[in-house]
Amino acid sequence: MSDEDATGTDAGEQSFALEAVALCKNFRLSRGLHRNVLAAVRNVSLRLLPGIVVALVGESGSGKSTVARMLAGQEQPTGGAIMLAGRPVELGKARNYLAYKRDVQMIFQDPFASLNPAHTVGYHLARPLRLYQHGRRGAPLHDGVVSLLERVRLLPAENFLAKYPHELSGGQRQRVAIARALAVGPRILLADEPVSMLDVSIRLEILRLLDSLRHDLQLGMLYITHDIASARYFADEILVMYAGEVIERGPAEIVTQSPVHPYTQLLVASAPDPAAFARRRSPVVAEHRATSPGLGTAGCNFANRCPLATDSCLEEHPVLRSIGTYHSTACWHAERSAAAFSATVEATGITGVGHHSEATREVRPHA
Amino acid sequence: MTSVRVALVPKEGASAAGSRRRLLARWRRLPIKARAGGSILAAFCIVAIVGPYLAPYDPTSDIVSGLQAPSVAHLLGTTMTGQDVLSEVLVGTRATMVVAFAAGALATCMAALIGVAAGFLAGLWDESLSLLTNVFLVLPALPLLIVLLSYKSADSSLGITLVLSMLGWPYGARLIRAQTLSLRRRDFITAARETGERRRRILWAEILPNVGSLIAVTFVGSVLYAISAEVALAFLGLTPTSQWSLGTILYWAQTESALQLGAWWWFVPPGVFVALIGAGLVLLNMGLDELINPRLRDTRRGTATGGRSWRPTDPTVVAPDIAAHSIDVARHGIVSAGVTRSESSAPVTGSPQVEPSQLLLEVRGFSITYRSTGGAVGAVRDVDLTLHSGEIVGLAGESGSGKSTLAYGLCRLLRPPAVIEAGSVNYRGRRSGGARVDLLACSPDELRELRWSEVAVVFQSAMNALNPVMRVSDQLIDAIDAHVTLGEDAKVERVERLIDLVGIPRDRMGSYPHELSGGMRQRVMIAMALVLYPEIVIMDEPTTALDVVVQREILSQIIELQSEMGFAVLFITHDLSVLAEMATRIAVMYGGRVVEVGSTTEMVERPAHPYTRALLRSFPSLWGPKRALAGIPGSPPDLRNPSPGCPFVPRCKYAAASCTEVAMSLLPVSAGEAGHVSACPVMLSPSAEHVAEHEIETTS
Repeated sequence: MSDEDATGTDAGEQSFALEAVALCKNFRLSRGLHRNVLAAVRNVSLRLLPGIVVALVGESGSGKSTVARMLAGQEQPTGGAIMLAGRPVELGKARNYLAYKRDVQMIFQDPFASLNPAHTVGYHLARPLRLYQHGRRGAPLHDGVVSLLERVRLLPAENFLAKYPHELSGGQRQRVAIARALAVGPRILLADEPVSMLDVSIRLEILRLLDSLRHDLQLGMLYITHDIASARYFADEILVMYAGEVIERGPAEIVTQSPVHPYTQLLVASAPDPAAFARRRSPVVAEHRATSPGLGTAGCNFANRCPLATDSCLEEHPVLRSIGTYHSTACWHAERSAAAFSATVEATGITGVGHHSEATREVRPHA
Repeated sequence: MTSVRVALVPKEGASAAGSRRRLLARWRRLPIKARAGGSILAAFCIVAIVGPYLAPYDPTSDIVSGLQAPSVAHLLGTTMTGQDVLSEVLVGTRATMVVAFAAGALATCMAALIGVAAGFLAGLWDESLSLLTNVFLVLPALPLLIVLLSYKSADSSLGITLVLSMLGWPYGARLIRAQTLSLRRRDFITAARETGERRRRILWAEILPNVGSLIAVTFVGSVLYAISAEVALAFLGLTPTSQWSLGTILYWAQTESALQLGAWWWFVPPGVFVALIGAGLVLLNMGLDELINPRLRDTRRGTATGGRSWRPTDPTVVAPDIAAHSIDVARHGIVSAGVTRSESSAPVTGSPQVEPSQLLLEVRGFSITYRSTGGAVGAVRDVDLTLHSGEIVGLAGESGSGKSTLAYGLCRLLRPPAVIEAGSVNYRGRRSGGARVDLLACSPDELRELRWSEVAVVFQSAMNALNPVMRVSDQLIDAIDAHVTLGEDAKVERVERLIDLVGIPRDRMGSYPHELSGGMRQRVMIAMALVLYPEIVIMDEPTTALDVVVQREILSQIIELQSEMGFAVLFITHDLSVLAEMATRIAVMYGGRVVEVGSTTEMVERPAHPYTRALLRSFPSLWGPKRALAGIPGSPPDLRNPSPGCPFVPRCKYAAASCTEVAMSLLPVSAGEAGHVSACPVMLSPSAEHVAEHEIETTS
């Protein structure tokens, strides 16, 4: 980093954050002669602070990965700005890009694709150390790699140095990928579905590792997932995305326990959950695939699937508005929706964990 | 590349003898074709190097007068002008090999350079370089060679080499470009960019090592091309005829009518040399192919053993004899316990049309092994499982637990190198009149009869399983046609009924698969499976690739269909929480074995195997107070080197010393819970009360 950068960071140390301000991304689609614009991300704002995990939850195609790729600098936003420590981020020059990558690193979904099959674990970790800590060679480099492996609990570290990715299990590969991201000493980690490709028994271990890293290293983390239950456990704040927009955001426990937007409620009701295996089936909402959102879609994107939709929903586009402390949603019928959800909860008793056997028979197909 | 790769590999202090031994071991591991081809080529390289010094005579000078048959003085006889053929061949081999290898190397360099550049730079670069490649590819090679060689400047080995490499590179360039293009989109390239690697470095250190094997194949192919082209051109007299090469010998033999004179010793030796070099190159290329793509090797090996192993080992199992069956059941006391249990739970689940307790499918002692050159992998080991009519049995397990192998093995849908080692799969369909059919023993025709019409499968990836160029309705009608004869109206009626049943709007019937959403496609897959009203539907992770909301809809649809049509479901998933909501019974697999079976309530509320228990605690819950989540430390078992006893031992916190010694068998969990069996003797022992309590810890 140059001197100028260094002083800048010093001044902004108190309020270090990676911010997205009204980020937009349009993709141009051309099918034959028709040219279409797909608004993959619209007006997404979020702030990643040290030691805080923000979860971005949504179905595939909701734009959550595009947000991560823009924040990682792999994709150029078509609107809005990215701010690091209060300064707008310009990634045009190679030097700027490297300086940015020193602070912001990313973990990929598929640990079988994100490591080069031709290189050893040691190589994968030594490269970033060499690139960012010039002159690190020989014993110090070796020690750096070993301490990275120890940090992600690949023990004994010496045994992993010479291994190739195909010799590792999925969980071990993801640990190597995490270690590589940590090698440059980032302050922000963008994790794009870091556990969805892993076996259930491995997922929690990786999430716990990420959790300990954010506490120990005060990492700010963006956790992208389609699994809202894991976001409840792992994240401090949850942002729910639908069709490229954030439609509800708030503290994790509030968003999962008292969701307000009908889509969040649907998401919560759909999540399979062994602890609640006895609960009744959720109210089924007719499947209408989200019509691919074009620019300037009038009305609410969720209106065609929403049980509460009224004429006004089709005409006017709802924007995020506050409905409680740190809790906001983009729904015209937030109050009605919240009341409907708590009524359902009361009627089905789904929040309790102690009523399994009574209700079991009722869910059975032939009861 | 090698130096980069081993930068951090601790070097073992190796003696010369040790390194020789390692080299030898590595050579032995190569595919036999690569070794054979390599040996042949090495022999010819030696001939090319030392041949001219070994030549007994000067090939250009006339030793004797006229044509002579082979003799002691002239081992391969002489030519019309009295030159020694052996000497000619020994000298000529060098010239041919030098030209071929030089042209091959040059063509490969060009191919690699242009292919990698086009694939990596993409955009306009790719388009123009691809255009260039394609232009060279369609140039008529032989006429062009003739034209180019007719120039005086090409009148030397160097000229031929240049011309051959000019025409030889485009094939390789196309392959290398395609490979680079696909590598460029891989995550590890993006990841390298994330770590701040520069483009040049990414090209050199990340992409090139992964196209290395393809470049090697290209090189061998180019040499092969160059050698045949060189020989052909020389034979036509288009290269300097005064320079000896294998082709020139043939040219002279042809010009002086060796064939008509019956002078076989003149043209056979150079011909055999060319053929042998060519064979060596082809073998080497095939060997390299196998090295890059080990599947090729294993498939062939597997077919050989697989054909034999379909037959079950125990002849008493084959006989469709009820008496034998009852003895078997008595022998497998635990299995019969499973039967009893299902009977008692049947009133809850049985559908009205079907006899509630009817045993549909009975799997016993089922073992499947993947045989590859790397060793045998016991993917399914000694599995017992039952499926009753109208039941949804969930088969849960992680990747590599053997759940999919088991399910596909049941209906013999596995391909080599998978081999069914032992066991029986007895099916009693209504249509077979209650008679027992061993799916593993019946003939391929009988099996075809049963598959789909009685046992259907819903695959995970609907997009791969559906035909992309056929309308949905046509595919459904196709499936009917393949098995039963129905009138046109009856077919349409049945298809429409199914489309309604699985919840696809009628106006989507004429769609092509790619026009449907993932959820709709999966509904089509389910309709396909149900089109012949099967007794059993095997569902292999039918909802894994879908979003939770869609998954929920499909699951409800499956439950509804199942209660309406009364088929039994074997539902395979890694997601125990899905099973908890929909299955009648659950079987949990780990390391190729079923470790616990029981009714859903028992499995969720009183799991008796440490793995089931840990797995249930691995799901973050949306409801109720936050529990402490445990996860399962360690990695899934390595099935190539299975540890003795219970496969879960290395990750189990209750493991005792005896766990590695006991043979795995399913034991009843308690007298009151018939049908609930577990393979963990530690948890079942009366002294294990501290383990048995079902703890729910609460965090703040």
